[in-house]
Amino acid sequence: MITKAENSSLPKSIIIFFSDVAEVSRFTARFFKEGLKPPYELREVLRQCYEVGYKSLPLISVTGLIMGMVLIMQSRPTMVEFGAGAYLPSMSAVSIVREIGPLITALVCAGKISSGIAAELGSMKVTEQIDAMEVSGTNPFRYLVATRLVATTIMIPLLTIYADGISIFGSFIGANIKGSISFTLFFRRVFDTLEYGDLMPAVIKSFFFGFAIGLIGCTKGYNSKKGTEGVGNAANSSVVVSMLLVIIIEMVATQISGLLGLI
Amino acid sequence: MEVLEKNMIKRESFTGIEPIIQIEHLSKSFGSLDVLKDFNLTITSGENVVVMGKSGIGKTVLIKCLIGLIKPDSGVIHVFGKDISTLNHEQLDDMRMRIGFVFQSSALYDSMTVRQNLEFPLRRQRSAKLPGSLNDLVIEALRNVGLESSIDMMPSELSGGMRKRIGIARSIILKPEIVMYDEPTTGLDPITSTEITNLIMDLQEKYHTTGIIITHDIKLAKAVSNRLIFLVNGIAYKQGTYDELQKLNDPNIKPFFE
Repeated sequence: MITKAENSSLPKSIIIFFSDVAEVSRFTARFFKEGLKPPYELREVLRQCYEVGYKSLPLISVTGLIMGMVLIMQSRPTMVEFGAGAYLPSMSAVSIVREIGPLITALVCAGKISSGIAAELGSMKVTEQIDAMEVSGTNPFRYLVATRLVATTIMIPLLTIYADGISIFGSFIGANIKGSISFTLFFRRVFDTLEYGDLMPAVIKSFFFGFAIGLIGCTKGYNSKKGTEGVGNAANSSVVVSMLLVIIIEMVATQISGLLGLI
Repeated sequence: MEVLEKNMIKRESFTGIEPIIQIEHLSKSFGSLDVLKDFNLTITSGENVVVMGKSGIGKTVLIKCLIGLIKPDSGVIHVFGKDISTLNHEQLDDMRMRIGFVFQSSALYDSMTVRQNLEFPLRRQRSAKLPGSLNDLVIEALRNVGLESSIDMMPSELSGGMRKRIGIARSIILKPEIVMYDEPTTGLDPITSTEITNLIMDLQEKYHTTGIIITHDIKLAKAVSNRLIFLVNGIAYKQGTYDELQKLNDPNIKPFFE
């Protein structure tokens, strides 16, 4: 049997790409049309916030701590060579809060959360649990998709702020591995440098990261096919696509920040 | 087996007249595969209709069309006198409250306990006045299927037969007028199949439901059906009582009775 994709003059991968874009757009439109209407599934939103946020804390903590330590240990030799060792706390704080914290947190969450959502929804789809929800008079899109999208959109910025804090603390540890600086002096320099304008664009950007991560995980999982193989593919492609989307959002956000004079 | 025999006598004396489901010229294709072709069927209130046919012939597609899970390509489906294609989401949900659906895979929510699985359809219907507390209704449903002790278990801790029973309990917890069963005994041993058959008949006698049962299990079909329908090439090929169809020498039907 020849499918439409095989029969077309366009390469199959291009057709799949555009059909994926159309599906994600359709999901986004459906979320704003259906997902924000009452009755609200507040209990499920809270449960998802716990799953997305609290259960990601160990991974974010370890990643953030190591990220901060590595950043300052790699930067130290060059900065000391140019006589700028005193700026290490400021440099690490600005780098972490503006770019590295939000980006690394989003990428880690894209790997952990997006794949988890895709696998869970995919598994529910192939075992007819989503159909069962629908026949019991529940809108599965509102109950499963909207709640997860709201949870990731709220929790990723919070995780980012937490990761920023842990990373800066990691920088302090890193600064003390090969040198010596007091806790008070390190954090005085950090807070003297950081401004409101460093934090806000990063937090706003994180909301978009969170939405994108939830959206891709839900779209891939909710539309998964072909049994257990389909669930695996959904989880795998959700990681790839959500990471790619995070990078694209990062690039757009940096351009917008530049245009607004925030960089 | 006493319950089974008693109910078989009851089935034979069935005299329903009021149409509860009417299917007219229903067609559904998947790609180039025509699953249902100009399918017509009327089911009357209180009737138990068993749909049989080869695997992949479109039996599950048929009942999923009836409950609005699959949209047909053409044709009209009236359930409770209403054309389901004209219903909005709320009206469709209201209609679904009056229908129970037992999935082939049971479709229990993996992340919820048995109690939460049964409470789920009840919690969704806050506006409807429920006859009794959530707990009472859950206990009653579990008592109906003889699994009160499993109330706090997770689906992964249940056997295949227990999962089927819990699936049935969940489908009847809202006291539906129609119950659709998608291969309720598939994959079960003969003893458990007989238990499920008896359970279906007990519940239908207790709640006076209309039943649509998709199955390959001829014992189940014999026990529960007022009418048997054979689905062949997308149409209702032959229909009649068990005894009528058993006598036919049709190569599409005879193998099911052997």
